[in-house]
Amino acid sequence: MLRDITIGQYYPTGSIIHKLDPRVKLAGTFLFIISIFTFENFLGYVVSLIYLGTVIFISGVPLKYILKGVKPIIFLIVFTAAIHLFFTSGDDVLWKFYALKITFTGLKKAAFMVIRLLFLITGSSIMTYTTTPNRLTEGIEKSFGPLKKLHIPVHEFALMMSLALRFIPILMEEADKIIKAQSSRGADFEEGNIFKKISVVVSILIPLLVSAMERARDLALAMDARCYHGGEGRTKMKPLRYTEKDYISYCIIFVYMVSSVAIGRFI
Amino acid sequence: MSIEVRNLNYIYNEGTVFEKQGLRNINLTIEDGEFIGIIGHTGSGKSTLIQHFNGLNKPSSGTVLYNGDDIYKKGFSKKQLRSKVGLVFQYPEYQLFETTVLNDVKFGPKNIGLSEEDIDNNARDALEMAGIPKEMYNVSPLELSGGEKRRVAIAGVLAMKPKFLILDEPTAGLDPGGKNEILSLIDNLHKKDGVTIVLVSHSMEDVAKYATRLVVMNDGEIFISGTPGEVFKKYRELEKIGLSAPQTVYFLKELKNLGYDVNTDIITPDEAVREIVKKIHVKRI
Repeated sequence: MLRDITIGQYYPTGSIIHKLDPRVKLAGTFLFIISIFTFENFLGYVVSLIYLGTVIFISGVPLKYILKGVKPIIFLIVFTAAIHLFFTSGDDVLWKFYALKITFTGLKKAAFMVIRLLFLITGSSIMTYTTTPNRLTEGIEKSFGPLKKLHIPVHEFALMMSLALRFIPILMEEADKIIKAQSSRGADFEEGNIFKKISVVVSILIPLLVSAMERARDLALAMDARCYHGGEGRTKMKPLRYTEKDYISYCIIFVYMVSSVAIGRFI
Repeated sequence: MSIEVRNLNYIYNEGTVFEKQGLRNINLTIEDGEFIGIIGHTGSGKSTLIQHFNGLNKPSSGTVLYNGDDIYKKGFSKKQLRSKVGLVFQYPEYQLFETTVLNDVKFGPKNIGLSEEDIDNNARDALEMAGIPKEMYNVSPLELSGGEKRRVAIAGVLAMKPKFLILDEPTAGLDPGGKNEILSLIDNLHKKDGVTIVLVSHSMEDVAKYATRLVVMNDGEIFISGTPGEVFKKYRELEKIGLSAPQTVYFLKELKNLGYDVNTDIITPDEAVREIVKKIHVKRI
């Protein structure tokens, strides 16, 4: 059940995508997401699909695994599509039923939304599959580094993020264990009336919350014991440094942006 | 009554890069009234194996039979199975969630649909068995000490009146006092209430004292299985997989090497003391 949630999990294959500097991947993902929201025709999405497909292929992460990450948001996709499909006004009505009507504009908008959401999820999950949370946070910290001049605590934010990411798998494992433990005590997730179901959910949430708090407290103590005092004067064991492949990747991202936006908007 | 494991294989994350064989071709029968000790190193598959006994894990191939019925067959009630095969997880105190100790222990019997009266009786019986004093029944479980929490959690499983009780490292992280309390509770359940026990541990001393049969796991397979005496005779092989026999076994072997005629099949310190005292008396006469 919980193992189905794959977003944000690292999937090691040792491909060149995995070895890229996280800043490149962040920029690439960010620009890719911008690009898919600028297109006005389907041809742009064909270019995106080819690009995305190639990246996935090079990364070596199985397609099945990436699609699994889409599963939890299927409802959101369907819901958004339905809203666009039924509530877009336009003159080119295809089908009408009382207040509900489907217009050609609406159909096109719904299709765009579905594609955009799918690409958004697969595009960003490729980044998290190929980058360890630590590297990702380092990339973010470095990319937003200039904001430090405005007295924004970039390092602290980055630390909070990396801790949050670090705890996702731990808490998932914990939740899995607690679910199993409560199942052993006869807790049933499928049957029973609403009150029984609520008591089952509570039986999982409370222990999970308690252990999360305890972990947070332990971690804070451990950091304090090692004299952690924020980002000032802190150095890295492995500082990020661009190499040749990173520059080449930036070029590829640039070429993709120019070509896809040109095709998607102006053809 | 019995639990029978047949040709069981279990693979983690099948079909991904994280794929790992967890259990390899396990065959094991647990008969009514036994006290089985499962020993092995961390990662040897002990916990994974016992989670098959009540159907929490689904095997990649092979199956588990409860009284001859396949527990993975459609229509087999897992809920009923879990009330008969009680499983106490490692660090079970983390599963406590209710507002009072008594309510928490009632969670299990409530889930299996007993009557209000039975739920209350079962819960009180279980708490008494676990040695929790009455004043604590209405206290929040989070206010108890580590050892008390653990006994409450075990009571939470006992309240379903299981015929089989499986415990995953029930004494981990407890002080010697708390450890003995838990072990004697388990021993009482076995002797007085006739509950079949499966005790998972990596401490040879604990298991040697109580178990009627030992199953040694290594790398997802059953390495040796037999009575404690039989298993500990093969202490050289145990050492090869990083385990060892209880100290008593080594001690008596050493005595024998020094020329004392002692019985080397003895495995618990108490028996060893008696044996040595007996031999000393024989010599004096």
